[in-house]
Amino acid sequence: MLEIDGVFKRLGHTVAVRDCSLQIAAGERVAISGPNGAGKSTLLRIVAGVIAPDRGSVRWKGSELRGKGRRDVGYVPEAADPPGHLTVGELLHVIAATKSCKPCSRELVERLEIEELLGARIFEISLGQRRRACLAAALVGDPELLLLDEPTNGLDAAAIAMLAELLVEDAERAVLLVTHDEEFAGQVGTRRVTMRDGGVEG
Amino acid sequence: MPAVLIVAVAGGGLYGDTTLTFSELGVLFDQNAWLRATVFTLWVLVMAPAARAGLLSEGIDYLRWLPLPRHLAVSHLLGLLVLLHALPALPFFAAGLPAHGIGMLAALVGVATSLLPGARGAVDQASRVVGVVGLLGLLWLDLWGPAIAAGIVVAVLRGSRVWRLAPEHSFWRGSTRMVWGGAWCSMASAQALLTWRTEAAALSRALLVSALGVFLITLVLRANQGSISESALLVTSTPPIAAVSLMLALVLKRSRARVDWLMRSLGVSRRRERICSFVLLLGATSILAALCLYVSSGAPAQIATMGVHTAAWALLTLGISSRSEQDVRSASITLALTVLAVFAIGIGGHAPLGAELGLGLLAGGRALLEDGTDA
Repeated sequence: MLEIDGVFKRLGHTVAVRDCSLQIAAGERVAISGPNGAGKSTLLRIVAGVIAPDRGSVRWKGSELRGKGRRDVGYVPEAADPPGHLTVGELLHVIAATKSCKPCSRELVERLEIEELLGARIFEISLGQRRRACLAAALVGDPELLLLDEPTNGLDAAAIAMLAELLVEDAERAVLLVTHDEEFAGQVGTRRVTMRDGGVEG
Repeated sequence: MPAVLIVAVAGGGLYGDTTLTFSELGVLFDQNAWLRATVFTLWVLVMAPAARAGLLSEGIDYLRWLPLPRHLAVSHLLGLLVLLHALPALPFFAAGLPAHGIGMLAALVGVATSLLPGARGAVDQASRVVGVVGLLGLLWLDLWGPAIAAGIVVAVLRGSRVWRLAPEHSFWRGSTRMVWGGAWCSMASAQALLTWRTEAAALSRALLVSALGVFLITLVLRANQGSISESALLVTSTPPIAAVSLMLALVLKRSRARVDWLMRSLGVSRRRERICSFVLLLGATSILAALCLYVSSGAPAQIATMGVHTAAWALLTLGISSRSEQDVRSASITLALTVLAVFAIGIGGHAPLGAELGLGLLAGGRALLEDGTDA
């Protein structure tokens, strides 16, 4: 369903992603691990469309993943730094509006424990709360493909357990996950992949 | 923008009925290539940080994954640049020269997109330089039709490139080590390097405000047939000296926070750090004061006055910046109120220098005498 084919990306003098190919079927949850600087986050940024590959392609359901095609994608970047002067509610509204879908369901908001934060500006809330808000933003429109970059950073144990549960219970959604949290990767991933020096090893 | 507003408000107040009308300014732009080029260049440089912050912040990076078509994102980028750069083009419309106004605006936006980051390789870098030089040349030569066409082409091509490449954080691999020497020297060079790498925009703005300050004094001199009283010199030079001093004080405060752990580990006291900041502020603003004196052909007696004036503002802004918990906003409000108070005292003819010095000692003296740690 998601086909990453021969993606290559150079950042400055460094080759960040080296001819990387990967296929992820519907319902599959792929956990990518590897040392720092292996190119994991860059690969995820390319799949999310934040940066463009120098060569290679990312296809979703057979067509290039860009423009309106990205409506099916939810993305949580590593930095979790949405525009700080928006409130959490405004952020969710912007994302729902650009995806032409309804904002987060009440149930999801309660599950992520962000109902108290909807009126708070993002720069005012803690890293863990910001991470929850980003998760809610990624899940707007119930996307079929979820891209998560170190989603457990800043989360407490209860929130990590809740996130694992949330990811596992949807059997149809494809998930591409970058994490150094081996336990979380083991809980959530149906397949484990390692990246090293910009390339996929297994 | 604040600097331009200060100049506009001060200019209006100083000249009253003798100030230029908008349409006269348009005619002047049309006739004087030097003036056009100066305003054009200053405006793009002043607006560059705003364009950068509005379009390329980390938060915008986060939103790039949203399913927006590329042309919509690029249009949004260019639309924002048009809004930021519309003001210098408006006098042409007021003067009945709409083609010139459109040409000016197109060229401004083209140059602004060329100054934004987002380039890969030598060809890209070269095209940015060619874009800036070419557009400036067209404006200089009064070629408004080609300026419109070239401005639009450069803006669209560069806008698309900026949107695509700006979030690529390239890895800088400099081989030169720029921190050297023993403990004190390496700490000073580390702080200077950090300040330059993180505060280059703020330092550039301080330089621009200095240039505007000197420009303002020159205008006052012309309006007064080449002579200026000591009191008028003090009051006229207050906004630029105060603004530059506060900008640098805040830069020093932020850069100090970045090397806080280093300062603590070396046992540098708060008092010593503030004395160093005061000396740096005094040095920087003294250059501006010397330029003001130079353009006003200041008498030797005025040198001492301007020295005290500069020291008072260095003390004042040091005190304001070290007391401001909300950083820029509260410091700016306090400073604006202080400048207004000094203006009122100066216009009333009651020793503005004494008032400045009193306020400076009150605000900065406490900061200099304190030897505790930051709250």
